[in-house]
Amino acid sequence: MKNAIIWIFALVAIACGLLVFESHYLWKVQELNLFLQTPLFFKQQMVAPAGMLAYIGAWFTQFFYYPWVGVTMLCGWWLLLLFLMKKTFAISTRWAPLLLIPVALLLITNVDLGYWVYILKLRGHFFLTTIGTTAVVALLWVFRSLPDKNWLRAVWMVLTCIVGYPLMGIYGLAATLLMGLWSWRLIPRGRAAVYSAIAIVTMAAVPLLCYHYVYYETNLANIYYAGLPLFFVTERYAQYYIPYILLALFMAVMVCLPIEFEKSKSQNDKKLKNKSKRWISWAEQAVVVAVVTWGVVHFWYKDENFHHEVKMQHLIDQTDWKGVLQEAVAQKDEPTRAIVMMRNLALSRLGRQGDVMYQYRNGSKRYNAPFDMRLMMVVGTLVYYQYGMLNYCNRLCTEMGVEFGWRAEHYRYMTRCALLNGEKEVARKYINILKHTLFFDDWAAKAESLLDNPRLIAKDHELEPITHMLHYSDVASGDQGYVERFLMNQLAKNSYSKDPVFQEQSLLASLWVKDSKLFWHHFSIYVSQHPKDDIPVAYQEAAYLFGKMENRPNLDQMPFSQGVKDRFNRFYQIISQCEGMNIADVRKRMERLYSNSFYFDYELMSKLPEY
Amino acid sequence: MKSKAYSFFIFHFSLLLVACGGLSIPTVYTQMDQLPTIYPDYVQVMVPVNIAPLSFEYDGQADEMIARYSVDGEEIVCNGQPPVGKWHSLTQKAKGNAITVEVYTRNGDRWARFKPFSIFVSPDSIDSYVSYRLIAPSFITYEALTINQRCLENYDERVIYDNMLCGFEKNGQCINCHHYQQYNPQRLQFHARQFQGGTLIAYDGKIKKVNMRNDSILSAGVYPAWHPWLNLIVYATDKTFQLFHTVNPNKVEVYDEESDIIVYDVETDEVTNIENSKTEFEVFPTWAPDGKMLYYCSAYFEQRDSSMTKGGEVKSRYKELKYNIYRKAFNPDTRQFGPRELVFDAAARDSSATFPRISPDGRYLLFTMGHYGYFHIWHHDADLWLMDLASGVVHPFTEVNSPDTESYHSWSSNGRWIIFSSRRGDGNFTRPFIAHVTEDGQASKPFELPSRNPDYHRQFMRCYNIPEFMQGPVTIKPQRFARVLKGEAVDVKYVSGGL
Repeated sequence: MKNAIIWIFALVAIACGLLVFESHYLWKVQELNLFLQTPLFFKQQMVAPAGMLAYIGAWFTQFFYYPWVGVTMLCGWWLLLLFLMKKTFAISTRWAPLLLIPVALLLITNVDLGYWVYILKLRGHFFLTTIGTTAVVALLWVFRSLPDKNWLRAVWMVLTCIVGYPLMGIYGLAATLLMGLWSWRLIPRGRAAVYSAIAIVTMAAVPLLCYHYVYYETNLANIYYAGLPLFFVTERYAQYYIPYILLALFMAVMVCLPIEFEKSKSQNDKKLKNKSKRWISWAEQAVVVAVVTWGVVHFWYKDENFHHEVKMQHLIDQTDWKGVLQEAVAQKDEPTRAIVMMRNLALSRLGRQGDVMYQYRNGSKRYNAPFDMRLMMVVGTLVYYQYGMLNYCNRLCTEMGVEFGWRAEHYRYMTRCALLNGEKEVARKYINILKHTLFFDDWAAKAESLLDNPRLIAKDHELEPITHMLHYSDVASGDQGYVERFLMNQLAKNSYSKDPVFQEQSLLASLWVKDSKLFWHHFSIYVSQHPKDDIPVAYQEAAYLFGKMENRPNLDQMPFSQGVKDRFNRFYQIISQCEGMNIADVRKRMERLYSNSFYFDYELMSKLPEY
Repeated sequence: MKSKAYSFFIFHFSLLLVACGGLSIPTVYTQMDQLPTIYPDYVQVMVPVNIAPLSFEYDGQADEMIARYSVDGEEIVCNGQPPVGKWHSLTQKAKGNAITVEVYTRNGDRWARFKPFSIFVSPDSIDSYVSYRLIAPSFITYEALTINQRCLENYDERVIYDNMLCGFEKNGQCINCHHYQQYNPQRLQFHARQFQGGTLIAYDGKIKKVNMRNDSILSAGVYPAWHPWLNLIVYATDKTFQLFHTVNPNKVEVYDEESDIIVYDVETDEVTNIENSKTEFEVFPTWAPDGKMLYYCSAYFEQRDSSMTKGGEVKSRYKELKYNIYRKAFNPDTRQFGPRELVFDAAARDSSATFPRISPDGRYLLFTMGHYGYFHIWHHDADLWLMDLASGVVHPFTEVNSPDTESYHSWSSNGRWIIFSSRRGDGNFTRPFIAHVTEDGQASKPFELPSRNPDYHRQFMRCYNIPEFMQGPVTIKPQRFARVLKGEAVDVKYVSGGL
């Protein structure tokens, strides 16, 4: 009972932590997941070892659509694991808090991922490790419970490997290995050696046999790791396997502990009771809990930009543009380009980009990942879609679907693209697939209602803004993986001007590419289309700057606000004093007063690194 | 949510019930005037006597569907998925005649009976196997590509080779161009690109990996054409590039900056150029069945702007690439090729003709025609055209074409069937279609490759590339191909002046 209270308390704390700090991340995890209730989907998961675990893992992962449901399920699994471990390894009450270690390790495997979440290929990985570990413990419990006669345990061990490997991959092998180790404690040494030999032979042979006779989709080099996430991009990132290794070691320690330990544990319990030194026990347990807590907090991925990004993506999914701006205001660190692009999108949707975009912090911080993370992988599809570059959104969805496996968000973006492109039949295909999901069937039904109805599309609050962006002229080329540059260049070079929304985006893109010729072209159209409106300050600053650079006549007779002129003069006065200085130092010096101007952006924010 | 989950759990159970339970034809129903809308569309199609069951689903709103397939008192009553054994008994009985299909649908407690339709059963059989590459309609990435083989007499599908057996992350492997000598599954070849790449040639139980790259030729071989009986394979060699459209619904352009034709001797590993004009882009070689004529496509391209690189100019003028069909006589005894002759001048029609395939009787030339370029599988306007080589008459193969893409066609070994890829379903995913062709070049309405689950192709997210008939299955295991690919390759030796 005491154990249960501690465990439940710990799990409630974990659940609260996940829901408070990671609810948007959890939402993103399910967006990057897919579970289809079709025999084909099941069949497709079963073509590799550990397919069943991936299938079950993906089923549970979809529940993060409502983060609290997913978290409750995850904690439920961990509670089951705790009970199974206690029963299987006969852990005394005094040492029961030790069992929080594997739970903490399992939690770390989920919260230390950061940008890996975008590129991990193992379907259902968020639950997979937990379910795999639970299954291992359950199999060990049966192994221990079987009578020691007629080689029953050996049969069970072999069966575990033969059935466990195809269904659970490395977890089936781990269970076999642990049984082999445990036999030294459970049965006489002579037979234990035979058990261990059987374990090793089956562990080595079953994956090989499966490679040769069952599976055709797994490289021989990877057959022993099936079911583990692959932390490999251009090299292997071994540090991410540490929680898995520690988990395996923990299990190994559990099965290798001398049998007397259990007795001594119970004796110790009595002793402690008798001596009324419960406080020692409590202190020991508190130390374990503290160390575990420290470990979890330490390895929890806390990058600010990563969390802003996932939250902004979630808010954009809900078309909460004001929310995106609130998130942008909370930005403390230098933002990534993904954040800058999403913020600018929100400003454009709210019609304020030309007025205030330079008032937000600009930058191009490297994505905090050990590998070369790119904007394309984080928000490439979102950005292409929101900017109306539908062929490229569709292309990127397909490329990523092929590379990392199809995801719920791919299907939704491809559906939207097909709807807006008038590709009804392929839209219908994706809609029908989404109808086989648990949480996107309503979305699919709504999309289906738009299929033959362009009028409804024009009124749809999610699709309508995109319809203004569908005016690119066709260019056959490629983005080379640089989404922002490609998009801004395409927009800036476009000549379509009948839609003021698209036209203004072209003008904004000309600021991005810093091309005065393109700017004047778009600016003159903008002015003619907005004769009674105040010209946003960014456009005024750009016109004044380019006008000065080109010595345009009558510049001072144009209706620039005095503030625009004064800031220009002050800015370039200071700049002239900074000649020879490192650009980063100049940027630092000018940032406080001028980072909210086009002058600053033009002079000091060009040549930002592109990730 | 709850009901959805519940329905999922009962899904398999209900399938089981349907499969095992006896369905009966409703006695009370409303007779409809129209034919049923079904998917795949098997209404009034002609099928080979040995084809797998044509399973279908009702494509409208209905709570339930029952279909009766009948011929001369023998019938199958099912939910649109006839059992294989009973189906074959039915097709045998209907050989040269037709199976009548009646479709009943239920909405609530009301049944409707649609106008019956026929499935005509041709006495002409079809090769028992077809192979194809399965690839997502992606543009650059190619993880999890497979070359599969499918038994046309039932639904068995197996992998011939999967690129994941060798590829790993940055060391990915692309596979393509599977090809057989005269429909013989014991004599096949395919390419693996990039990691551990090479051309795999299997010949009567032996497999070798060939490194087709050589300084004297443009690239490793592509688009193979194995001579009908000699151990010679003709390939195109090319420098291929891709462009992606920002708006055009064709989405992708694939074009060559240069291409030639080579011939490779499987026994000596010698290779030589057959065509390598600087102003001609030659591609898609194919042999006439008598082995005495080599057909291929070629586009004329001359550089006009010396300020640009050739690649840059081709890129800017890719829509001007119009491929004609040519042929060269070949003497199997001396192994010498003759000069090229124009077979079909597509450029004169401001079009581009690609992928020539000669019927086994040598009479017909089937090819793809589009407005420009050679990678017509991405062009929505691409259609199949048929040329009678005896009369020279050319016409669009209207009976088999659709408003969307048709390409990647091949003839069955008896010449009575063609299989081709079409994007007619959704404009994006190619599916194999089969049509009967009579001796005088008339085609029946094509039918989609049947699947056990009629909804399969709607759910499936990969395309069928190059469906090729085979007279039996490839028996070499994928792992054996992988083992050879992981080994050393035999380098080709370039010889000038013919093999």
